[in-house]
Amino acid sequence: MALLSIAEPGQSQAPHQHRLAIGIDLGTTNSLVAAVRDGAAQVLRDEDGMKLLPSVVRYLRGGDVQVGFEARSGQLVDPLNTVASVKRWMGRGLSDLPDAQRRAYRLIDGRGMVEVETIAGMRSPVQISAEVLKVLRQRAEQALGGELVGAVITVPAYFDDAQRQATKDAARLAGLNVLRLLNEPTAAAIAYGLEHASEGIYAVYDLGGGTFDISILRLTRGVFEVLAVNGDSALGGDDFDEAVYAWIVAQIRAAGDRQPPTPDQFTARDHRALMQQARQAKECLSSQQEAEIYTRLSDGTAVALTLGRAQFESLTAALVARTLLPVRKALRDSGTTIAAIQGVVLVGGVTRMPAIRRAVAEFFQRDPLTDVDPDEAVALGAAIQAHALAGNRAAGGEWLLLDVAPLSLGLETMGGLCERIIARNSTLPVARGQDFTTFKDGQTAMSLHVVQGERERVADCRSLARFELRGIPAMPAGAARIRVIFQVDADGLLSVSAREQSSGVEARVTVLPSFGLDDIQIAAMLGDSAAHAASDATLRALGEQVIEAQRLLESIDSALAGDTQAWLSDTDRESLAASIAELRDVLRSENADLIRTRAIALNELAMPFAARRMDEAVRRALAGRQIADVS
Amino acid sequence: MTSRGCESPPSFFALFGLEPRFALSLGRLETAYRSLARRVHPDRFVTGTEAERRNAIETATQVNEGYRTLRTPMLRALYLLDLRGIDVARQGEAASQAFLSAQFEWRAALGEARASRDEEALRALEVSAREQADALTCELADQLDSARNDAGAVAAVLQLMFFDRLLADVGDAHEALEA
Repeated sequence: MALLSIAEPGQSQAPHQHRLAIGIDLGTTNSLVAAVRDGAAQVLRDEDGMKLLPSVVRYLRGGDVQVGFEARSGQLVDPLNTVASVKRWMGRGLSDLPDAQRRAYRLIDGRGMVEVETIAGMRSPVQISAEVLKVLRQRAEQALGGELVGAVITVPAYFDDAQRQATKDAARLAGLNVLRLLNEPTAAAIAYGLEHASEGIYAVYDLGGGTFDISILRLTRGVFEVLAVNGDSALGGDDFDEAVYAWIVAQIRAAGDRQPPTPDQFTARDHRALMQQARQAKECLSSQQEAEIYTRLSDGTAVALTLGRAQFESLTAALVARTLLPVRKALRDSGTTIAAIQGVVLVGGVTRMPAIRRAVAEFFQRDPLTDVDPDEAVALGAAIQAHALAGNRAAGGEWLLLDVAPLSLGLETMGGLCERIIARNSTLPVARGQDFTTFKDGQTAMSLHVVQGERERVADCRSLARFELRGIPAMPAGAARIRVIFQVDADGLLSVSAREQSSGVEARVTVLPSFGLDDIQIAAMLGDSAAHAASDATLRALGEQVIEAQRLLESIDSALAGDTQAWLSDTDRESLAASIAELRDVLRSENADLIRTRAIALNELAMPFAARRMDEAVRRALAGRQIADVS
Repeated sequence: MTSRGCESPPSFFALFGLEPRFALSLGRLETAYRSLARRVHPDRFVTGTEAERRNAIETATQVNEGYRTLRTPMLRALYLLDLRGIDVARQGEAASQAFLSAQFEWRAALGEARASRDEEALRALEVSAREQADALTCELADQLDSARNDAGAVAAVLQLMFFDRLLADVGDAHEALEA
């Protein structure tokens, strides 16, 4: 039926062909990849049967790269070239990072975010994350035995635009087609909700290695509607490690009969060794009452300490309390009450800590749900969504996800204040416009500063981009009407455009992000890596063009195969057929430019028809509903 | 408030198959919204052509905007008045002297609760502001649907806008106290 081909363009073409798609949980400490196989989502294992891949990358002399367990064990031997917790650097400048991390590596401010100096040269967080993603991609290709249509990559719900953009860039750099960026708590809710066929309002408390998210969702008949999210993108298990680390250092100084070392007098190796001890102690205290800490510093000093659970909990009580602030905000924004919440799902390995479970239970006045693996839920949810987005029959029946923008978006106005244009927790996709005017006679340009955050002063918000609108016709002050439109897509990514409209002369600018990579930079970075010769890059470009063109042809074919009368005349059909034939002719030509040109031509020709089909879909959705109402 | 293209699209009421009235069934609105969102959400078009993807974003954006507008009483009233050719933003002076002084008292009460960091007072203020907002919502149904008194509706919606803003500020004050 035509309606089906409108709703699921991918499906009608080859309904029985399973399209391979994966979900990736790119974590601060560990990463996972999952896929739907035989109708159920499962985490994919490596050759050794391991599910988790430590998000650690080690650069070696000669250009080799180690990722995962091997790299993690290299941390002590080669701390400066072994990067852990890189997620905390995504889209972040040097001044955003805590001291401990700045001490542990050779970091500088690079293109839009920090970069780290390694034996292999300067590396950005995007490149480092791409190494982790590449390993997961290879694991998936091997396990699934075929070409991947694409991947859903999860991000903390409270990630801002720069952090999301960086994540998407990393995936592209790893050769992955990103079907969607999915918020981690939402992913967990999908995995949990579908498995338990839940209905009602749920809270997802997600404390990861480096980030904290709280998400309040309403589950109704296959619709996952996010009501509110909040969080802290710089609070996670790492901070608990650092609290223990600080305690260890204080003990060493107190016990030392020599000149007490200050933290920056430790060598990078000592620092790592103590951090590792701190992390092990934290993990141990989730099940034990006491943890032993033992290590020998490079100057020969032996460190032997015992940390009790009560002591640990008092060291970290402030961190636990810090998570409850965003929880209150999210609850208020969602317009619901604690009493209305059906259940609380815990996500992230850190939520195994008894103190966290107690605090959550006390706040929500109910025991959290524990029948979901806090390490796997996010990857499983991402796999389920990837499977559906790729055009396969949805696992767990038809469902729909309605997510929100985590942070308010606005423009700088006079006096360094922020004019809010899109409010936090708006359902995606969302677009909103605001009119501005000129303040001087004959003013022909206007500069716009786009910011993200909840504070009133621009200086307290995150700067996303600056751009200029030029070519405004000279008019008296206050006469020009400049409409600025913010659009946030389903990935939570923002684009901004501005247009002067009062005079009929239009000027239009699309924002250039001050972070993020364009296609040319991605290509250059792909070229950068020694493994890629120039001819590889050309081949890759050709391959991408062919895939893109095939995707276009397939989609148009499936549209034409349906009932087209409502939106296509015979003449339209003929011109489409001609353009399709032209593209088919060159598909095997190995001429990337030619394929691209013809694909663009076909795409442009098809554009108005897509709009008509969408109108038709809306009409039919409504018609179907009204008939149902009558009967 | 509402952005209109060159050919004016169907009203949000028409989009959801509802009568252009202030009083509406939230249940019917929600059902219509879900059914539309299912068809037009960008998730349905991830593997589609660029044109389809762009269209899905535009249509889903409209559907979301319509849902938000109709679901929120204050926005719904403004929208209904806008459809009747009344721009409330230009009627700012319509607020009565009596309501202006009432506004002043509400603001003073909020300021006091904030200054004395009084959670209880904030909560009490929130409850009575919400009662006022609910009463105004009923009033709007009368003025817009039964009495068809647009001037009365404008006065009521201006008051409702005040209480919506006040409630948002009360929320911010709670947040500031918690921090």
